Amino acid sequence: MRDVVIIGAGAIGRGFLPWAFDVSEYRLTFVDANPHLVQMMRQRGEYITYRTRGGKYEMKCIQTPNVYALADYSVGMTPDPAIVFMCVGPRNCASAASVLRGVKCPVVMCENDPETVTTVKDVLSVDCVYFAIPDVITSNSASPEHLAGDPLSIHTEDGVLFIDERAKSIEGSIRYCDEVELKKQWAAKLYLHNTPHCIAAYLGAIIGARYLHEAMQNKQVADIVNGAMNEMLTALKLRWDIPHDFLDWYAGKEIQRFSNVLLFDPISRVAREPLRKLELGGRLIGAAQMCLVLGFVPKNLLTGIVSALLFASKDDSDKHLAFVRRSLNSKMLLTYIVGLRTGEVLETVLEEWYPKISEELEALASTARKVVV
Amino acid sequence: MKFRWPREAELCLKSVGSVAGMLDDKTGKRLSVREKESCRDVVTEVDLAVERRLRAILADSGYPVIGEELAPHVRAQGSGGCWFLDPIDGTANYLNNIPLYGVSVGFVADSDFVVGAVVLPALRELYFVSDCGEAYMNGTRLQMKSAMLRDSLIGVSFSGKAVNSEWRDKEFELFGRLNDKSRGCMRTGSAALNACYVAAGKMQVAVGFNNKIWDVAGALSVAKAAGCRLYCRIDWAANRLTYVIGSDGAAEAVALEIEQAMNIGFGAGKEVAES
Repeated sequence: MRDVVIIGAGAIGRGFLPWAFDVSEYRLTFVDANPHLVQMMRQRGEYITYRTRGGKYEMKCIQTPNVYALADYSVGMTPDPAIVFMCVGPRNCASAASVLRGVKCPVVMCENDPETVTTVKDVLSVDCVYFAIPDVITSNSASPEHLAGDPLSIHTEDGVLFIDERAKSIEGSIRYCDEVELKKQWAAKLYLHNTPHCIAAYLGAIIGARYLHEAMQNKQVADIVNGAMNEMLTALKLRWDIPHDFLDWYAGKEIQRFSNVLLFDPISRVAREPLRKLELGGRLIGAAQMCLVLGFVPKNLLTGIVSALLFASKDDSDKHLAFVRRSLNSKMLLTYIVGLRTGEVLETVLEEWYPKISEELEALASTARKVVV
Repeated sequence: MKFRWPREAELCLKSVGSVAGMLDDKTGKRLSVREKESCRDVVTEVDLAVERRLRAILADSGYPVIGEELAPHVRAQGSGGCWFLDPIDGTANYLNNIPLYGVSVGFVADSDFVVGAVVLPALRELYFVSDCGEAYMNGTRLQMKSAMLRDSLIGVSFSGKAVNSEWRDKEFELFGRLNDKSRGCMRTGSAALNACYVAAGKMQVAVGFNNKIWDVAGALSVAKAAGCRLYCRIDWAANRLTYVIGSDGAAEAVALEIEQAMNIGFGAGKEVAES
């Protein structure tokens, strides 16, 4: 029996990956930086991952005899693993990768940033690091009923795992694909999933929703998210050589996924680290710049950007965003914190629209509060 | 421990943010320049305009404000806190279109550097202490990493006017000695920039010989919030301090060199020796 190592026992690592292959054929080793999670997984010895399919839940019980804290682990403790999956969040890859020094098997980066491949290659001085795209929405939590039975339970969709074909070392419900296909899938995921998904989360935070499906039940939120999706579709069709029927199909399935009432995907998870979501060239700023270059003003994307800037959570690693937003004017916020160049088109457009969009979002919040009352 | 100065942190960042654009474009402008303590210590009308704006904003805080260019220049006694501001640290650089200059505002309470914000407009860098007492550069959290002296870049700042010639000779001799024991010493022309770069890990140590408190109060607060070690001797009445701030290991080594060469004693870490 061969070993599979999963660095990061969160949503993807614990929730989705065990559905991607036959876990009875492999020994699973989980490694996580959260000592509380590690302790719970060791104490309980197992957990349940629920997959939503056809409006129902399927369940899989995963045994956890091998669970390590990141600080205590090195890959030498797992003899001859077949594959290592990393799903720790792009900001944590560099530090997490150090436990893999000496690795010889493929390291598969299930991260929302292809640059993490280069990052980890640099840390490990190896070439066997590859990109993967978990085309799935996985919560880092579960419904209250499931959590009551198993506090480690977790919900996932029925998704697809795309992996660079050069990493092929285990079999399963995995689509190994070449570079061209991987680029196509990444463009779709980044702009037709990540972009509208985080916008839905930020708008959901504004109206006080707890889960993403609750946000999508608000008509105004759904309209903005659909509008952003259409803006991205327009841009991708103009900019990329990707079959339009694939893009239309992809966009349609995404909107349905965001509204999945069985998933219980917390807004706090999807909205986390807003400054990362606002990074230059990324799902919000890069997306908006692409639209502007192509000749149209993406009003819904701009609304998404402003809603991201308005996100405030004391538990988030970007909690200082609320502080800088209170302390700085919009120009300083956009040029110093977001990093836009003074006078560039997006900076100019956002500065002009910022007050109006802020008012609209305040009205959205106010309307949502009235509905609750 | 809960951070005691969230309101001051917000006002500090707000004040610096409100003046950043005033330094942006001086293309074609002929600035009048006046020398103060020496030919290296100059002031322009932009300095004065920036300080007026900063003072107007900070006046709401209820704490005294001490700035480089405008009266009063004496620290209030017995107050719980005081603002120190430098409208342009690195005016000579500013005049010569060298992008190493910035606006610095710092808040000192109970003889400690607790809140600060420094903007380097030509570099689009904004260093600040948040309302939780954490240090940031733009959106990124700053946290000190340990370093040995031999691996360190050291930024050094001299006073505009020598205290006396013997002291000055020792300062320059130390510059050379530290240069040879490290990755190198730099004189950037901005003490605030040096300390901010230490906070960001771009340099590992910043040294100031008889600097004005307003030059560095903001930047020292940021560097301390990033976890950097501070050794300093302060003369509040004269508004001057000699300090070393930097990474664990390297800062201690530099402080020791200065103590031995100058025959002075620093307060280590969070303690501040007062002259």
